[in-house]
Amino acid sequence: MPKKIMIIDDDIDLVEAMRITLESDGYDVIDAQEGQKGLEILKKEKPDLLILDVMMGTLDEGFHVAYQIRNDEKIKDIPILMITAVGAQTGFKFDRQRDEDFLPVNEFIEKPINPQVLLDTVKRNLPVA
Amino acid sequence: MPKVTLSTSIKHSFYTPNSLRRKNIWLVNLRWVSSLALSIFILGLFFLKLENYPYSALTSIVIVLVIFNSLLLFYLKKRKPKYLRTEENIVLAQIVIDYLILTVLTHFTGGIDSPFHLFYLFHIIIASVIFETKYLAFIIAAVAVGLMSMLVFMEYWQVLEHYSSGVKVYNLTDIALALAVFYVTIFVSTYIGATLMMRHKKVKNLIFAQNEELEKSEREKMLFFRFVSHELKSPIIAVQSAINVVLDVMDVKLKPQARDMLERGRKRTLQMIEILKDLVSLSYEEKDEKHEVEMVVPCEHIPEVVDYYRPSAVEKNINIIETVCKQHQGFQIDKFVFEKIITNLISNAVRYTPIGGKVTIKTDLDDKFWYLMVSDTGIGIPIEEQKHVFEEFYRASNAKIFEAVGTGLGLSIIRKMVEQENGEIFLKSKVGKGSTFTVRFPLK
Repeated sequence: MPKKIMIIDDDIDLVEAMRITLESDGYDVIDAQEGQKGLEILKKEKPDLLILDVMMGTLDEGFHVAYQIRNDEKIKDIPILMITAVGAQTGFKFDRQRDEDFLPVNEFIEKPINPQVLLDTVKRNLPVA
Repeated sequence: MPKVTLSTSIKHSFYTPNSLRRKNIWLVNLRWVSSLALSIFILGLFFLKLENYPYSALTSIVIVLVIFNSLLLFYLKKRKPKYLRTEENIVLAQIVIDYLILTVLTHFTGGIDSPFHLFYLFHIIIASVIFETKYLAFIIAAVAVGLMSMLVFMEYWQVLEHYSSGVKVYNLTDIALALAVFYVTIFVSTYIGATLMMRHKKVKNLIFAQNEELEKSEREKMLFFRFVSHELKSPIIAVQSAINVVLDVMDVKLKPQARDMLERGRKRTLQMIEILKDLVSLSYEEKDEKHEVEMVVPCEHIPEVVDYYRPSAVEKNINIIETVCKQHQGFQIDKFVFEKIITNLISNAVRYTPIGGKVTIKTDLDDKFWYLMVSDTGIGIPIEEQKHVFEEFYRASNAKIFEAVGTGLGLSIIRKMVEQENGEIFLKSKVGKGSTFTVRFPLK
């Protein structure tokens, strides 16, 4: 069974770029363009990993979605990769490793999407099983 | 520029209970000086053996002044300034009490002949300077005129004794003339003083209001700037990601020429993203973007930063060398700014170093400073242009040829950040040989 990856991002071109990259490595990809809609699909489909954009409707919609997921017993264990735009919010690129107290996500990925980095990061964060 | 509507009734931060309290204290201090001056005056009279003056009365005045001033100071120290009205009343009370004392002094030094009656003018000036409204100065003027007239007429009607060095008998005409001159002097001074001060305060308010307006529009500009950079970034990021997917993921057989064109496109979009990043950093210089100052241990942070840049260096076959980091327990600095400075220096070095070059990162330490040196074997900066490279939007002539696209903001941003952290930045460079940027931060 291929692993199922979900992407929530309002930029359909980016979604497409990520989809092609992930499918090339044998993943199943589902997507949503908006936070709340994405949450519904996520609850139904229970993907193995979620790729989530920070800035969608609002500057931090992604964070809200991430908090909702972490507070929901049924889906709270899904790994979350958060995509941030270069230099957004902090203008900063590295050293944002996992900090559960601060952010409810597993890792950050920088836009623009570098295919190899994306694949490596996804692989690293998929639950082993 | 937005038009500023001015209202003279605006009470800005310079007319507050606290500012009035400072003026009250100032008046107390002036009174110490005048008590001292009066004592010296009395001593002078004594040594000149001028016998017409009532020494005991004059000395009593000094004593009253000192006691009043001490009590007032005690009161002011005990009560914190709270209400504007209270502080205004204290100023008024000080002036009125001063006038009463001055009237007594004038009486004992010759009434209408006394040179001290000129001193009534001081408080007129003080009132014009301190109060926001003209009418208070005129009230003070009226008090001065009233007290002086009362004194002169009481001496004329011989209710009070007339102290004078020469024996003079005044007729009503003399008194009327002298008082008329006094009235005119007082009221004209009040009018001039108060009018000038009102004009001055109006200008002060206007400048203050305009300054606020400017700061507001500056903030709005920055917000707009950030918004625009974000909006510009999204499409270019999508383009870059799309090209990445075609070149790196899709297993398509591209003609070498097609691949080359896409590679060029990828490179140019990357440049565009770098420029937008610079623009975003520029908009984040605003002071309101305060980050936490924390303990930074350079030897732990530098390798992380360097690792981040290694891939882009490898692409150009540039070797990034870190020499042994001088161990140090760390120093207090804005971590975000610290790392941004290092990243910008390294990315600059990689950018302006030809394929196969070398970038060296060195740290050093003495008892006052921590040093970071980033050297490259790049194109260098011509001597005559070196003093300009830290200016906004300036790009060295050879840099423009080597890398077509750039904002010329990188080094100016670095310099601002270094200075923000009380550091300094130095440049040593030779065309064709390379450049060394040295940044140093004070250890305390």
